[in-house]
Amino acid sequence: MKTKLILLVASALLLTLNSGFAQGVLTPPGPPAPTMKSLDQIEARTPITNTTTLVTITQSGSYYLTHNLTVVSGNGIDINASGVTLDLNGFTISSTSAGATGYGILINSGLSDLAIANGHIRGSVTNNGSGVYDGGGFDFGIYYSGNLPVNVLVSRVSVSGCQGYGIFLGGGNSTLVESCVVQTIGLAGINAAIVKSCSAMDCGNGGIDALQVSDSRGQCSGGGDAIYANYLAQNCYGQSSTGFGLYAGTALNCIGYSYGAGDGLYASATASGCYGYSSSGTGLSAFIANVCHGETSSGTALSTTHNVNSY
Amino acid sequence: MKVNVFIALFVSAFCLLPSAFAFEGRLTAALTRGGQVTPLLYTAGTNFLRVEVTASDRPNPVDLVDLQSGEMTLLFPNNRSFVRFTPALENASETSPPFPMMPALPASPGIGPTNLPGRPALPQRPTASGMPAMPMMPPPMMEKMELTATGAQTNLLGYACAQYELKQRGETMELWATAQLFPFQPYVQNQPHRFGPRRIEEQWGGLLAEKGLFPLLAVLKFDHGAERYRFAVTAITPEKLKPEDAAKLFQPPPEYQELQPLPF
Repeated sequence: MKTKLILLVASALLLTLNSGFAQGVLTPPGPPAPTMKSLDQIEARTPITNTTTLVTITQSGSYYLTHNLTVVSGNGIDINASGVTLDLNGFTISSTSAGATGYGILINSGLSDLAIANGHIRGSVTNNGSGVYDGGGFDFGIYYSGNLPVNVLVSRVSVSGCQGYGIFLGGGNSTLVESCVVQTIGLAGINAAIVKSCSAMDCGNGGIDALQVSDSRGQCSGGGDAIYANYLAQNCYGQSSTGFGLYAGTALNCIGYSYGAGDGLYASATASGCYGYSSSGTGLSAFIANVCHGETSSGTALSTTHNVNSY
Repeated sequence: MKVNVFIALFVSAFCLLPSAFAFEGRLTAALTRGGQVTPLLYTAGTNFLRVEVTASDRPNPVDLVDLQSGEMTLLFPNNRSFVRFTPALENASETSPPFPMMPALPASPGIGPTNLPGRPALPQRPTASGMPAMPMMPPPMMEKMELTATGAQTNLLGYACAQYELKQRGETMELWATAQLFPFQPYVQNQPHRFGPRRIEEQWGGLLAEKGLFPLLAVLKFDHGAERYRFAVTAITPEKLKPEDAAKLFQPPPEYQELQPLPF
């Protein structure tokens, strides 16, 4: 009896279930309404579509590359206005000039509030292995002319094969180079007020030159300083052929090598937790050496006025 | 008659110009640090000096010095460029070394690529008023360093030399220097550091140059006896340079590109 009752209830429930869903009206109500967004709403930036000719930016705004840019000679991009964000968008600016000339990106005189990011600047200058740099492409990767630029951020940019400087922003007024790499640069790699998380390798006469340098690496084949930090170098590595490996006001957790007569690591104030090696100069030199170690082949291992657990 | 007087005045005025130094010619020297020897060649003209490394293992920079103005031009053969700057005056009487501070602001306008056509305007230096001063950190104290004549005299390579001493922090440099050549210019391979090391080997050149002296022999030793630095002149050849040679020796080659010096 109980079983019959359950079956009856189940059957009733089954019968009450909809066997099909109702269909809507198939006739369109009318033409589609204008629901599309404008390009400015989707991508509020200005595309740079040049592929072979100089790009000149004369108005503030946000710009991005849509292709690689390869010029025959001269500059790649001239920035002539303040308030410009330039996204290289992963593309490369290069020059096919037989002799090195021009600037990958030129920041004209006295501009402010600039950001350059996400791409590559490539020349064809090479080091012959003896420290002689020659070839074509650009003289400079990113460079300024005239008055110093103010509030400039360059990030995630690689520069290679330039005859003069890699990224050169001048020393004052808040310039920051972050997460950039430069390689094979005839004179000096990176110059800015602050340099962090960067690498400047195979530079002819100086790697990184800044007021403050952190988490960076510099290497130069000539007599310059691989890393020069006017105030502070932190977590850095510098290696110079004949100049100073690392030269700073204060050096924290740094390593410096000089394979010539320069100091491996020099700190005019304090070196703390540092190591320096010099072939024939002074391995580590600091006014206060705190838990540091200096080594040399034929020079002086450690030179310090106040030795705190250093040797 | 009047013309003759003018000519005579002009010639005498020209002769009185303090432009020419006593010596003109070439001088070779060896700089030894930590057992590593660097051969140097000095070429002195009437008002210019060229200092270069003669070893050919690498493209070493060349120093060109204007003896009148003190302006130095560093040639970089490694990338065919050059940089001009006027070294900060060495103040030998300072008791402490300069310490990191805000960028020095040279009075001269910025310099940069000038000799290439089509180049944009050159970087200008900021004005002093545009850069706020930053408080200096207290400099570490170092004892005053003075060039002290010992009174001893000798003759080296045919030049009358007097002996001097420099002492600092457990090191002594003994040197023999003459006033018959030209003011000393140590060889530099890079733009000068904006601060630091003020060790004897960084200061002795300025101290000698102030007195118009050139060292024929200088030896720096630790007070416990070990030698760590030696400068020795090996030959001196007086020679009147031809004007065309002087023009080549004391000017950057035309194909070299002028670059802006590093800032700060």
